[in-house]
Amino acid sequence: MAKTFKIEILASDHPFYQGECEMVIFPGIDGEMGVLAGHEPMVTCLMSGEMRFQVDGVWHFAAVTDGIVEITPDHVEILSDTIERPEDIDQHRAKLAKQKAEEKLRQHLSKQEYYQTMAAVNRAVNRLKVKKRHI
Amino acid sequence: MANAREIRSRMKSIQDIMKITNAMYLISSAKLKKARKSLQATHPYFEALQDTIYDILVRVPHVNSVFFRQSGQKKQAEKSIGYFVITADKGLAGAYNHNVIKKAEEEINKGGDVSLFVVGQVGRQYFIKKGRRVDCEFLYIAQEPTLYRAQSIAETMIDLFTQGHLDEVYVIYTEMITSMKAEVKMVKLLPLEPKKFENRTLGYPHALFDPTPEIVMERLVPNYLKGLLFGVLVESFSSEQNARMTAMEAATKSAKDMLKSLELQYNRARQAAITQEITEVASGAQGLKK
Repeated sequence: MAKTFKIEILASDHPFYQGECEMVIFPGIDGEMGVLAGHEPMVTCLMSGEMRFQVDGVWHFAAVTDGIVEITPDHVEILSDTIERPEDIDQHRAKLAKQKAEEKLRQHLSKQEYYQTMAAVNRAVNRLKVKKRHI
Repeated sequence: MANAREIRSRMKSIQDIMKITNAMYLISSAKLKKARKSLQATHPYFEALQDTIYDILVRVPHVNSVFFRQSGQKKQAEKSIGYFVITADKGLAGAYNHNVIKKAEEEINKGGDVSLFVVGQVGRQYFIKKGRRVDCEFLYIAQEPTLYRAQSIAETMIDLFTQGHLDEVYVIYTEMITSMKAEVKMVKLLPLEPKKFENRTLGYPHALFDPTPEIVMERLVPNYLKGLLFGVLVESFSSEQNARMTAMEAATKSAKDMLKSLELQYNRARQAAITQEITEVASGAQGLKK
C-alpha cells in the first residue's frame, strides 16, 4: 500500500473530490507535474489540460482549466475554475464552443479578445481530447 | 366616515398591489433557492481560495510583483481609489440597496480621488444622480452571476491597476450570514499585502514557487481575483433575493392586515347606509298614513 496524502480538489462551482490519494499528476506551467506524499511545500499554477489522481490503485481522470495548486507534505489543494469528469463532458457542446470560438478568431479582434478566444478554443479542444481518450 | 364605495375601491387597489407583492415574493423565493444552491457549491472554493492566498501571502518571499505595489507614500487625498460596489438591478428589496450605498458613501467621504465601478442599476443611477464619477463603460448586471462575468470584471480591475490609473481597489458587497442576517462588507482587492511572518501559525515557513515566484504570482493573482469576485457576486445576489423575499413577505402581510380593517369599515358603512334607508322609508310611510 502506497503512502497517501490528503487531497482537496475544488472547482469554482462545486467541490470535486476530497479524501486520501496516492498520487496526483496535473498540467503545470512547464509540463506535467506529479506529486507523491511527502512532497516539499510548493505553490504553483495549474494549466488547462488533463489531471489524474490515484485512489486505492485506481486512476481517476478529469479535464481542468486554469487554477492554483498548493502543496504541503501531507496535503494538496487544487483550485480550478472548472473540473469535469470525462463522462460529464458534453461532446456536442464542446464541439459547438470550439466552432464558435474558431469562427470568432477569423474576425478582427482586439488583443484582449484574441487571447480570450484563444483560451476558449483551448478549453474546448482540451475537453474533446479528454473525452476521446476515456470513452 | 367614508362611504361604502370609496372603501370598496381602496380595497380593490390594495388587493391588486398585494397580488404583485405576493408574486414577487414567490419569484424571489424561487430565485433564492437557486442562488443558495450555487452559493453552497461555491462556498468551499471561495473559502479555500482565501485560505490559500493567505497562506501564500504569509510565505511569499520578496517578490517584485506589480500586484504588491503599495501606495503608502501618497497622502490619502492624492490616492486614486476604485470602489467596486455591488447593488441590485431593481429596488423593492428592503434596506439592501440602501445599506450598500450608505457604506459606499461613507468610504467615498474619507477622501481621495475616487472612481466608482457599480454593478446593478439602482446603485448606478443613484451615484450618477449624485454626480459621482461612475465608470460608464462598466456595465454588468447583478442577476445570476457567472464565472465569465467575474473574469471580465477582474481583468478590467487588473488592467486599471497595473497601468497605474488606480492605486487601491476595494469591493463593497453584502454577505449573507444567516437567512435572517446580512452584512455589508468591504474587502481590499489590490494591492496585495504580504503578511508578517510572526502572525502565522502554520508549520511551513517557506514554500517553493515553481518555476519562479514572479511567474506564479503573475498567473495566480488574476485567478485569485476572478474567484474572489465570483464569490462576492454570488454572495450579493443571494443576499438581494433574501432581502427582497423578506420585504415582500412583510408587504403582503401588511396588505392583509389593511384589508381586514377595511373590510370591517366597509361592513359598518354598508350597515349604516341600510339603517338610514330603512329609517327613511319607515318615516316616509308614517308621513303618508297621517
